[in-house]
Amino acid sequence: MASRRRTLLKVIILGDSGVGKTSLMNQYVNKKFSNQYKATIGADFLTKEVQFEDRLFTLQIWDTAGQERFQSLGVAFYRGADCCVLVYDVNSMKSFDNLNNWREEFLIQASPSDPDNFPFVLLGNKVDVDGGNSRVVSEKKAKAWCASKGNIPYFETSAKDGINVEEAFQCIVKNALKNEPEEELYMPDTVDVVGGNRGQGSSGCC
Amino acid sequence: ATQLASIEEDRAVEETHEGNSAEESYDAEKVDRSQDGAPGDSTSVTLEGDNGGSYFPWREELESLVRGGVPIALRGEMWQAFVGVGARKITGYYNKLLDERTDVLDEKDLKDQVVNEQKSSPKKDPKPEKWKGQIEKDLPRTFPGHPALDEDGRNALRRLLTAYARHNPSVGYCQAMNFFAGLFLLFMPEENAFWALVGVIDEYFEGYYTEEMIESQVDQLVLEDVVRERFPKLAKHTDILGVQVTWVTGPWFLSIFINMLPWESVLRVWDVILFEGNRTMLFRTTLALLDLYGPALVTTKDAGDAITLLQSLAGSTFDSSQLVLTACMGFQSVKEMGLRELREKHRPEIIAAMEERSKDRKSWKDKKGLATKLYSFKHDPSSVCPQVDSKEGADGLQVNGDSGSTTLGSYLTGSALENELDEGIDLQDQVKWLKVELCKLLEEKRSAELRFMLLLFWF
Repeated sequence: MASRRRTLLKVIILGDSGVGKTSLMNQYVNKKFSNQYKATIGADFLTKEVQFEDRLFTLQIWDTAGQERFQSLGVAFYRGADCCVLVYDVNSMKSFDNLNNWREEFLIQASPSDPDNFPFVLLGNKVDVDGGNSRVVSEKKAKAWCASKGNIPYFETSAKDGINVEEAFQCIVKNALKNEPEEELYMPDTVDVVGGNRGQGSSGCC
Repeated sequence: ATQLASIEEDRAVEETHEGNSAEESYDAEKVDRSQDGAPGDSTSVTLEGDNGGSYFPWREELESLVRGGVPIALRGEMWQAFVGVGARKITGYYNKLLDERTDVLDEKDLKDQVVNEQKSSPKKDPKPEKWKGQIEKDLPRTFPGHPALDEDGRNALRRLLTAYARHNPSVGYCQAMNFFAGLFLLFMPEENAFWALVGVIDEYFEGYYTEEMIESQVDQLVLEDVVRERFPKLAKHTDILGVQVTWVTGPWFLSIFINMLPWESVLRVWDVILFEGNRTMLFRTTLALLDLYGPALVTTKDAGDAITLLQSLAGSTFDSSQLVLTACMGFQSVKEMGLRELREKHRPEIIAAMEERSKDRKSWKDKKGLATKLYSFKHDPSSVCPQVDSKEGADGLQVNGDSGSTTLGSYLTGSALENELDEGIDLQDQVKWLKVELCKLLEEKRSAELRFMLLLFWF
């Protein structure tokens, strides 16, 4: 288990129902978009091999159900997460207003060792809808929220058109690695295969 | 004839299965076989009355027919009979539920409502039903592309889910029910589908889909116990990988395998669940899947591989007969009574954990409450600092308080943090901001009271 953190990065995607969590995950992992996704029940899961700073990682992406009551099942899924991706729909104020709730619930249930510095990334999805005319949450507003939560990186995405999805996940990987170094320095049975490239300037990816 | 054929097929599968079966289940199977009695032996005492008073002489034959797969042409009728739709049905109840608020079940009104919700000004309907939005979102996400779920199909689905939510507000609407309702609609008339849904959610899955989802969580702990007992080698392997089997099985249980197994397998498992009228088959099916795929699972080298493998293998379980037979015969010793005991054992943990979390949530709220108080200090210093009674000090403070609140006002209304205020603002940010503000005040007034207050707030 000491070696788990070496190569595996666990990422949890949270946000209201229908904001496009499943679509974002599928666009990133399979480069596909479908109008016919099924509602996610409980949680779903995909993995992807990623390279970052000459190192290989397995990204474990947990897609969760958006209905609030499924949060009761969160403990099992959230624990051990390296990064939490919050998603809202730029065309729905409610999905934006609920971000506080998702963030808090994650911190309560995952109980990370350093909640103040736990890496989150915010994605404002569905920027493609109606050519942006139905948009109700401004970029400024979203960024202000991010600033108030300790400078959470922010991306505006379209899972449908594949806009910014790759970039967002690059940033997610980077942030997932933020908490890694100290923990690993003391692991006796880990061997740095690729060479000590880690722990160098991994901030401000966007 | 179809039934007989499928039984024969199953017997054949059973033989094949015995050969390949993992040792762990082989023993169980042998024991169960001896309990099984001769087919048609109506005096057999192996039926333990799991189903309450539903004992009848030819139950055993029916049971093997069900395990062999209900013929598709009879499935609708059989399912209704199993769940007891006829007995449950109260004439006029369904329509009455729908009539309760005639205004809301019209497509056009619903759209208005969604718009209203987004603008958060529910003028038209003072108290919109809270499950409505979620149901609307899920209608197109229920078996998308299925020809039966055209516009009429979706309207029926909407009515069915709305009626159920009104029938049992403690559950209301929970995602996954859309799939159950959709499934029933494929096999029976709308009103009967409603009563089937009532039977499943109110009875077989009582406490599963409520706000707290307690029984759902309890079942996963129970399953973990059973898996550890039945598959010690697999359990050890998943422990080493840091995988919880329940990550995968949780969604299996919640969705009763819909979208998790191939269609035919889903239907075959549902045949048995509806016939037995409890959740035992969820456990047996899961154990059968672990039995089938355990050997592959123990070769995986990391958590991601293990979960992905289990998910994808489950999704390609096309041999529905092998699955159901392994479940029912191989794990016949997993019984409702035993599961009930385990549930009693685990329920307190779940409830305790839930209470713990609600305490955590409350302490978050309290922190926020404090943050809001800090804000109101800027608005109305006297409310927070009644001890500042020196006239000079109070005046000085008042002046600055006013100018401060102007700044605060523009800060709040001019920025995106507007709705933050209602929900509270991060305490740390608050303290930082207050420090800055107080330093400014200090510089300007250098009042002793202020310095005192600064200390109070700082520490």
